[in-house]
Formats: sequence, C-alpha cells, structure tokens
Amino acid sequence: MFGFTLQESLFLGFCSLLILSTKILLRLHLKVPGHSMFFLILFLMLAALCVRKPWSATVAAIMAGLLGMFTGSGKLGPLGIVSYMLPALVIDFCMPFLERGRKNLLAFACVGLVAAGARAPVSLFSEWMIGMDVQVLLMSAAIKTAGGMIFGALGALPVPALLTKLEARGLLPNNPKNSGTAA
Amino acid sequence: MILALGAMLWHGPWSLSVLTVGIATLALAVGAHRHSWERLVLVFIWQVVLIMALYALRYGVQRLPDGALVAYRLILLVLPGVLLMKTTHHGDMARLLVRILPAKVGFVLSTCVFFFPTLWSVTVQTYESQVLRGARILPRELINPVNMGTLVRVICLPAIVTSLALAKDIALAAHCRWYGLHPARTVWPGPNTTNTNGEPRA
Repeated sequence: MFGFTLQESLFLGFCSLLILSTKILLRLHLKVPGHSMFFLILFLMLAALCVRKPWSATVAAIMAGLLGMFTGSGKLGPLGIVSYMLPALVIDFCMPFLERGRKNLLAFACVGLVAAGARAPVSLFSEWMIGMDVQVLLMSAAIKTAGGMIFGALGALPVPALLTKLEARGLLPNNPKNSGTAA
Repeated sequence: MILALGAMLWHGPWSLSVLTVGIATLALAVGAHRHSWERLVLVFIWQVVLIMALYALRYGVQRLPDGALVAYRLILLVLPGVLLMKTTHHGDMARLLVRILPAKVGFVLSTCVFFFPTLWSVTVQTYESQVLRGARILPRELINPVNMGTLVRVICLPAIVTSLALAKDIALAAHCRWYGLHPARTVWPGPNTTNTNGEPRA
C-alpha cells in the first residue's frame, strides 16, 4: 500500500487508532483546550520515525482522519482529514532533520510546536467561510491554537527517549542496524 | 454534506431559516431524539460563549447579535455531520469504508479496526496495573503536565510495542494465507471447496 509493506501499513493503522482513542478518552476526562495535540504529535512522530519511509506520518494521519470521519469522532467531515494531515505533512517534511538530530530535544519540540500550529488554517478556513469577522476569527484561532502548540511541543519531547528504548529492544521494523530482518 | 456546505457557502437572507428547517427535518427523519446530546450541547455552549465574548471584546455589546449569528451558523455547519455519525452504526460505516476505498487500504483499515480491541485491552490492563502500582496517571492527575511523561513511559511505550508486535503477527498470518499474491481483492481459502492447497481466489 503506497510503498509500505503490510506490516508497516498495519502499524500506521494502529497508530491512527491510538490517536483517535486517546483523543476520545481525554475529551471525556480532561477539559484542557488543545490537549489532544499531545498524543496526535507523539503518535505521528513515532509513526514517522518507526517506519522511516517518506509520507509515513501523512498516511497515518489520513487513516486517522478517515477512521475519525467514519466512526463519528470527527465533526468537520473531510476537513477533519485535512486537520490531521497538515501536522503530519510538517512532521514528514522535518523527518530528515529529526533523524539527523535524534538527541536534540529542542528540534523535536520546535517541530511539535510548528506541526501543532499547522492545524490552525483548518479552523481559520471553516470559520472564515461561515462569515466570521476577520479580527475575531484571528483571536479565536489564536486561543485555540496556542494551547495546542504547547501540548504539541510537549508531545514531541518524549519521542527520542521512546525511540531509543524501541531500538534497544530491536523492535523497529526498518532499523538500519538490523536492516536484514525487516518484514 | 449539502446542508453543511450550505451553512458554509450560502449567506443569503433566508439561508439560516432554510438550513434550520432542513437540519431539523433531517434530525427528525433519522431519529436524533433517541440519542444523548449532552456532551455536544456543552461543546456548542462553549463555542457560542467564546465567539460572543470575542465579538463583545472587539466591538462592544452592540455587535453581539452578529456574533450570535456566526456562532449559530457554525453549529449548523457541524450538526449535519454529527447527526450522520450519531445515527449510523459504526459497522455500517466500516462496511461503506471498505466498499469505497481500494482493496488493500480497505483491508488494512478493517483489520486495524478488527484487532484494535486486542491492542486496547492490553493497554487498559497495563493502565490498571500501573495505577495499582501507584503511577500518577489518573485523569485528575494528568492535568499536571509532569505526569504526562509518566503516562508516556508506562502506557504509550507498551502500546507502541504491542502494536508493533501485533502488526508483525497479522502481516505474517496474512502472508501465510497468500495475501498480496494477486493485485485484485482475494478471499482465503476461497469459495471453491475443491481447492485443497489453500491458494486464494482472485
């Protein structure tokens, strides 16, 4: 599927379901704006850095959007897919830098921050289309995005440690150290 | 979809009335009253309060009706999709998904949905064990961002490990059943009962 093996596709699918389920669970229990970005960025980065193929995060995000649309957790319909895709595209574009600077927590936090902020155009577009005043629109988007960006940066911070642990256990399917054993 | 697009694109003088009547008819037709709407109402109230507060802050009280209209239009934009999702069974949605998408994408998504309860039950067991161990990962403790690190360490890492292992096992099982042998959709062992060697039919 799109150059991914079945094992990689299934892993990306599980990541997308983990994104959706943590989002639904946290919406039930934790009333903090933007908190869902924590797990969205965490699982998208893990998906990208575990599979290590171009567009891994985007594929996981499209799957999450599709599953969200068809299972009722997404309210914006097709725009929901775009709202997952934009952060994933940022992560995919930054993948080479992240792979090179695996110990650089600041780089991870910056990518998490930008990726979470990349979701703002969806909210801006939908609210602009319904005729909201531009200044109010910008303030509303800023309030919604600021919390998400903070949580996005926090969500990116544990990724290097998690990858190190996964690599130490030889669990990464496309690990260059044991590339012969990949499925 | 048409109603949501109408709320987004049609700004004529009768647009709100027509859209309200349309969405109310849709809600009656699909039996929306049989479902719980408390959580969604809370989300809508938060949305209306935020938009009206921003309008009041920026333009004063005289522009509040404009804010209310925009908030109402936003609700009309979201409502048709929510109605569809609330009143359609998840299984029907999944079947539709598999029918629309290419065979391999449909297989991956439906397999993930089918096996997700296995992954989730392992994650829930891990969560409960960690709570019993004294990990600070109860919902009220997660408001403190420091405890999110603990959650990632003790729940997300095992969840990722389990999903990697599960994906490997499922892929192996599918390849053992000749998955990917033909470019078209295949079934295993196939409807032909005389097929004894287990090769799937395209």
